[in-house]
Amino acid sequence: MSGIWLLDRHVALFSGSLRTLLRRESDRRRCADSPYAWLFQPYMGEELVALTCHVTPTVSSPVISLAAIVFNQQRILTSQAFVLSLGAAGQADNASLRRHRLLCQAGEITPPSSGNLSALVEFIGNRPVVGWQLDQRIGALNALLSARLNFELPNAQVDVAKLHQRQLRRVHPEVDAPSSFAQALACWQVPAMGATHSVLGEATASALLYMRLQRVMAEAV
Amino acid sequence: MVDVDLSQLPFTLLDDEGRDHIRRGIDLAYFDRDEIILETGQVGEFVFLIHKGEVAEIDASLPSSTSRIGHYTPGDIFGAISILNGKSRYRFKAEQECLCYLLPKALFQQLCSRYPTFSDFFRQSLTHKARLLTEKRAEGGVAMAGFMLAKVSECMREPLLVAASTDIASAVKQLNDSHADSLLVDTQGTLGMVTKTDLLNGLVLGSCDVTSPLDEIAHFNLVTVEPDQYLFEVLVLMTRHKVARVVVMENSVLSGVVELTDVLSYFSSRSFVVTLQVEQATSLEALAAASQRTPELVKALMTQGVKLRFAMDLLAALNGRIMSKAWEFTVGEGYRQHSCMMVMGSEGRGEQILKTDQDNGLILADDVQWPDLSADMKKLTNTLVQLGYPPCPGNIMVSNAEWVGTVSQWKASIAKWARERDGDSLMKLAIMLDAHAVAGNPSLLESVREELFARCSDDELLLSYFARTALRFSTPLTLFGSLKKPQHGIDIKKGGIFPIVHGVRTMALERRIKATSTLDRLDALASDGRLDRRFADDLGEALSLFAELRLKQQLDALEVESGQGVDQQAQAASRANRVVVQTLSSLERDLLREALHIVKDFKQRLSHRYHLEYS
Repeated sequence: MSGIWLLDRHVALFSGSLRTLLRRESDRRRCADSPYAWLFQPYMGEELVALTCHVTPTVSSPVISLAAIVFNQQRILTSQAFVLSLGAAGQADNASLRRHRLLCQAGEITPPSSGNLSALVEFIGNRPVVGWQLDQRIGALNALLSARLNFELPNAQVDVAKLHQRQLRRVHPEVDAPSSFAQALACWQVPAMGATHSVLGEATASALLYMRLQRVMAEAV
Repeated sequence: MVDVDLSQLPFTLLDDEGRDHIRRGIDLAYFDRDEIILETGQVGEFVFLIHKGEVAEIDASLPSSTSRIGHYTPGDIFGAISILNGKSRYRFKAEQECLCYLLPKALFQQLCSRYPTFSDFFRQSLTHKARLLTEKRAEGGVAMAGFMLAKVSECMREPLLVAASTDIASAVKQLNDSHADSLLVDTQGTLGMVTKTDLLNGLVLGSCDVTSPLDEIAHFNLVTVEPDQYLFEVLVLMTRHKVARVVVMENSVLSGVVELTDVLSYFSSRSFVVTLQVEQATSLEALAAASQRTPELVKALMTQGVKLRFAMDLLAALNGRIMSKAWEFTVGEGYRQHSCMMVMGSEGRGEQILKTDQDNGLILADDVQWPDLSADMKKLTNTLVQLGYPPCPGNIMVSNAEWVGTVSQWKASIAKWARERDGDSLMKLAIMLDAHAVAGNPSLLESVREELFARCSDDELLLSYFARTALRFSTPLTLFGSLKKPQHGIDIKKGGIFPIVHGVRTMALERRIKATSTLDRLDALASDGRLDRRFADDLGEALSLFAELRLKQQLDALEVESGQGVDQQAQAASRANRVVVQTLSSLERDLLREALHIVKDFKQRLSHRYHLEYS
């Protein structure tokens, strides 16, 4: 019994590089007595969280729009989605910011604080996080988290882009050009759900893509 | 907020705030193929809005062939009624992989209580589901309201005024001549009325004879109304005073009479009024006026949910009477027995509900001498144009010498067409097959038709050529059997009506069936044993459905186009054949799909019977 516990508990640690592995373990030890300790517990449920981050660098500090949605194999709880835009308040309304707003539709930009960041990590909880090109996009969020809360997202992470590439190679061994999110959605006939112009849409679509790929993999076995 | 399209009914009944509530409150759910979304008797927890995929509604208590009672496609809603009723009456099953938005029960109920029209939409669709499509039309309360608001002036007859000293014999003659059953009697400024009953009573029970003056039996206590009073007020007056006729006085000057039968037929369908007008017409203008009222009659019949087949029969009879009246106005008495005017095409089949164009021809007896024939025929065509039958674009009209001939000339051309078998000849044969005599001597057409059957019915090769045209247009179904949904709509005439009409026509030719209407031909083919009775009935129903869908669009087009230019009218006419699937309700869509499947099946039978597989 204890062996399985240990394995489950550390299975999350085997994903990612050695650096993140070590980092996560030290975070866990540091947070052992903080209210965030439960986030480092292994997750035993069925749910996952689809996470999308959009980062637009501006003159002062980058603006991050993110959306997180809880889903399981059947339902995507869009009604309880967590949508947030983080950035320095009172920024000049320049072109890149306007473009960011158009792309993300994530509402008012609020300055990052330990309050809204802890709301985010508590929303995500210890559930696995799913997203398109997650390891590249999550960097800015992790930087904010470690500055404010002293740890990075400890959750197991699933990169749908990698899943997609792997599955694509199984079907067409000669394909190796990386494809865009829109191409991947079209490839697996997943409806785009407005992925091109809102973070929430993109998170929904990546959850759907994950569900679809899970099914494709289950059929292939 | 979720990016979901709420621009369709019933969400258009909400305001922006309500729609935002929905966008904030809905979840997404994925259902695998054949997964049961909502089981019979299960408590309704969500309203489902389909984003992708198809869902079947199944009544599990029925045998499997008929258990599918509904079909939902992207944009459709289901599950609302389960919430209103507490639990689901039927089973909903995903037919393909489905992605649905889920609107939670609590939010739905909240919206229903806040937006009564939104709630009504679902309660209404509950009743709408329970009834069948034909009955649904009866709820077209708008058109009925139009009748309720009719004024007296729209429904009154010309008064028949005679002097008080007129004797009974001439009064009876006058009544018969003018197809009326009451007369007004003028006695020194006061008006009296004499009805047929009064005449009868006076002659049989009273002491009058045929030479007595009318004022002995006339009634002088008349009920009068003004021409701008509502018709239903007249009905009330008639009931209250126990009379069947009222006199219309405009500023104390006599202007007309309203009879009970007129009022009742006006409220029912006006069919009586139009028929009467046609019969009473003594001039071309009066006939044209009556002829112009037929679209109105069609609309009234459709509003009351009269089965299309009977409406067709009535209209065919009416059109026939109008044509034969026009014939009587233009053709001299002496020629009538030696010639036969026939109508062809949809009119010949009795399927032309609204006047589209005139297709007609003339058969002459072999020995007739008719010097100014072409002038007379030109006049007849022009008369028909005046009566509201537009000229035929293919010039199949009596004014064209090609469609006028003696019996032997017609027989010769039929022999030639049957020999040549090219596209034009086959089309002319098809046109002749639908010919129906409307005026003159019908035996002439009979003898031509005999020749047609003798030449063609046993000629397998000709039949095969003839049948091939039925396959010319593809059925608008996808590879998987669902409806094609192009933006501009599917052509119901090419995809549905034409294959049935032409296929049935071919079979009728083969079996020498003289009926010209497709539905009658189907009946005859079924009793002949050529077609299975059930399949024949199905085909008939499918045809009625297509015709109804088309008629609805034609009526809409009629309303739009009045007052527009000629090319716009032509455009509207071509658009009337197109049914935009997206605008139909899911029940209608289901019926349409079933009907098109029947057409597809029929085409397969045709190609099997007439060996069209490789042609």
